[in-house]
Amino acid sequence: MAELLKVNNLRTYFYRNEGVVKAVDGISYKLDYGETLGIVGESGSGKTVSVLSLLGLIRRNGRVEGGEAIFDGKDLLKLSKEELREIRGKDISIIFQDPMTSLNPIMRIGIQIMEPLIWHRLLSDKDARDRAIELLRVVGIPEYKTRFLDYPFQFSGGMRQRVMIAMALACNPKLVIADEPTTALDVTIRAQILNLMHEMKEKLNMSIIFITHDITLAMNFCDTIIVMYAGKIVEYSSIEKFIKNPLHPYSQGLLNSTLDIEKKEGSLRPIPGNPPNLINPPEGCRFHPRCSYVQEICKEKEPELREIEEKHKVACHLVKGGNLNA
Amino acid sequence: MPELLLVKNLRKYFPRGRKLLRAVDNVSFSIDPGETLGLVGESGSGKSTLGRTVLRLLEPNDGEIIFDGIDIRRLKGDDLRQIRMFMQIIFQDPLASLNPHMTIGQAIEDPLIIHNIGTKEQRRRAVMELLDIVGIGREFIDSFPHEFSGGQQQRVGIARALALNPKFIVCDEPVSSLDVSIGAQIVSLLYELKRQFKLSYLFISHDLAVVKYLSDKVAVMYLGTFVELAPKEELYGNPLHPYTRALLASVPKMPKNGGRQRKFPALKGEIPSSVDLPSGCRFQSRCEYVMDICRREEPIFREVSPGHFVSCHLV
Amino acid sequence: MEVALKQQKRRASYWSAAWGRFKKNKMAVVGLIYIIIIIIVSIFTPWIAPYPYDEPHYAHTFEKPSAKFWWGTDDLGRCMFSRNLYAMRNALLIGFGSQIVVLIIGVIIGSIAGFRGGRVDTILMRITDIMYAFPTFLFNVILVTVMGRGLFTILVAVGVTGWAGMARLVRGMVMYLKHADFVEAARALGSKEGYIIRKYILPNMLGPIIVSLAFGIPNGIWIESGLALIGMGVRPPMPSWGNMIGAGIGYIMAFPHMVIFPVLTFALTLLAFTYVGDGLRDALNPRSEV
Repeated sequence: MAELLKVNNLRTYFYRNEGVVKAVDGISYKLDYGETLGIVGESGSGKTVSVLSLLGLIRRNGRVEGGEAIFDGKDLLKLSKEELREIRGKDISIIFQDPMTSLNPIMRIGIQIMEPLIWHRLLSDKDARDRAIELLRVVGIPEYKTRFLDYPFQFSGGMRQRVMIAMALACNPKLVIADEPTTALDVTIRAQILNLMHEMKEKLNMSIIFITHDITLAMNFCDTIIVMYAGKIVEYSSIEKFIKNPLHPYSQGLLNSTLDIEKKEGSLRPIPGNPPNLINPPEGCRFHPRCSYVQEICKEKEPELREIEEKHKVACHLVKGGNLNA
Repeated sequence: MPELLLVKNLRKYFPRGRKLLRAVDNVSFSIDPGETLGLVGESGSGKSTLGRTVLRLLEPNDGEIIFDGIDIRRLKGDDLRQIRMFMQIIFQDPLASLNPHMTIGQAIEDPLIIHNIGTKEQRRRAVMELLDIVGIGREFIDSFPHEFSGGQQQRVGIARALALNPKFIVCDEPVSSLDVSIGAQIVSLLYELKRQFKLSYLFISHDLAVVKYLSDKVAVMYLGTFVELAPKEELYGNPLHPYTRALLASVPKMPKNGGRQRKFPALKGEIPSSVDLPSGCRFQSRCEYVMDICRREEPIFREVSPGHFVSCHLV
Repeated sequence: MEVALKQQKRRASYWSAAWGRFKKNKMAVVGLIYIIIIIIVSIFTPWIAPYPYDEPHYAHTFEKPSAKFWWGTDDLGRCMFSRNLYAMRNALLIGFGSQIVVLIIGVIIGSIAGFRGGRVDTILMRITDIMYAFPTFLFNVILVTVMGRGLFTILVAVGVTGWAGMARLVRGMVMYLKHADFVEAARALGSKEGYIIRKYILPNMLGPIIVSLAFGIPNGIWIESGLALIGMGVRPPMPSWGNMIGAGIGYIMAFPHMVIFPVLTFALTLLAFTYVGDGLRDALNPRSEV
């Protein structure tokens, strides 16, 4: 499969009064055409920043410090604002967590879907309108023809997320970034949206980066998984390998912290402690203060992300020969 | 064993213009000492309102709430304040549940001051012990809530709820605003506390897995009423109501040995408004097995096997 | 971002933490120092002022600033510096005094509306809306005309017309606080309503009320001067910035000192209060960790 996106040694820092927050500190990953990549982590792990940095969508006090991001032959980090705007919404589109705050409240939703098409001069007004109506039908909005002229507040949360998906798909993007697209939704609505996203992916053969805190969801939905902790990738693996053999102590801890309806009473083994302060991250492995297998080397030397087997990389000193030797 | 809490035909309505929002509509259940009832439902199902009404933080419109043999709807003034010592609440948003002007030491000590328990010295010692129990370092006693992380704040909320040795705690989505690893710590803590102090919880959550982990029996709420109530193993192993089944099916399961799930059997449509309730069965607009009778008559919440209640015409 | 608790900062009470945040705002500190100085000066004005405010020196009319008359004299040869001090004194009296009236009326009406809710709330808030919509300045003119042009009546008039904003603020906070999670928690613990109000509701209202008062004071000063400018303020020869500027404006080309000094002190005073208000607003929000 051909490569669509390749990110190399990306670093994004935030400058705050207390110091420099190293939100994303040297991460590399790649994405093939048609691949779904899940990025899993807790708040502050850098999972969102690691992706939004590519599109110049980080808050003003943040800055991309280095690295490259080759998308379709172009380095996104070197593009001007204008050139990035050309790509955003056309080749790469984004679905955010909260559809209410990411839709313009005073613009009819049909018009909002038409906007990227007209903006990027892909279609005439008339054709854009037809396409927007068609998209509303595809994402399953009932009475889509009349609802074309409704405002966001007239939609429920689930329906708004469908509208967001319609907008994201409008220009037939090569890559869709979904940032916690189902977190704000109820369980039954979440299932509807996941099904819709899956269906769209099959139909349109696009690549998806799926950012989530829900490791179970990522394991079901994605082809490849990245587990992030404190601005670093700790494990990067194909889903099959990860399901069989999750290796990093943090990945294991996250899995043990995740409740599943099949989990037995009393079997929950949470990770102790809190995530670190990213202004002064711990020396050596950033996870070592919370790791139950910690050894001397973990406190001194930062582990590299090493390939353990094909399509399975782990950043841990204790992983040897495909096992966690602790 | 007599029940710790017995709730009969509880109703709580809110006026919405000329109409009524039936947030809790004819709900009955009981909780034994040391038992935990899990309460699952989507947003708008009325589960949080139920939790607050049971504690009389909201005044019910109708029904009985018997706690430890006492009808708490009849209590007034000091009697009501006294009984509050035994029933507590933990909130979803831990920061909002703490007074920003009080240090965490003051917050945990406050229940003891309110009920005039102990000397200043004894109270301080009690606060220290509570900090130990919930796993916060004693050195943080004079810190303010906003200096803490969400997980720590929730621990403070739990310590405050435990200060008066309650028998019963309403846990209103206590982990849904926390990160996975931190949420797991809190669930674990609640589990330990329940065993250590023989606590009863009314554990409210939209997360079926968390509810299953902590509960002895589980109720499923939809549009203000219970559609199913059963012992935990029974509810998760043999769900009878179509809504319960749909809920369980829509939860992604941890894939094992390559058995991944890409499609989730999803309910059609969305939860209707509690102001304009459908006639007949409340679930009929989304039910795939809907029949004529479901549109005409509201099903009765009845016991189909010991301890297993369900309201559906088809069962 | 989670902040590791190991680097525990110096323990600080709510108010000392607020002071710490206030101190970081340089303009607010400068404003506060200025205000403290003018308050002290105002208290001791009769002893500090070199001349009585109404003593004419007919041999020294329209004099430019000199060693004898620091800020010059006006058309009647009265000492501009002394008159300015008295004008400042009156302005502060009315600024602070009117806010006490605002505080009393606003907090009472706002609290009753917020706590009682329902019909009482609706009626009180309609009255507040009417007050809010009524042209304040016109209302002041009417009140002063009816009650007379004394310092005290002006102070009451400014307060009586200015409480609507405070009432809305207090009502909003009460409505939010009475159902805030931490108040529910206190109720669930079995505390009495009085205790909840004292320990949970009042401390959380104090910050915004103080900020509102801090912005209200310059507003009161502004209205007082406005009234004086159109001849509805304090009765001459009692000076006010309004009537001093009004009198000086006619001689602005020939004797600019008659306008410059009152305008400057007036503007500086308003600015100082506004900067202090800004500083307080940032400092009293415990969640605005800098």
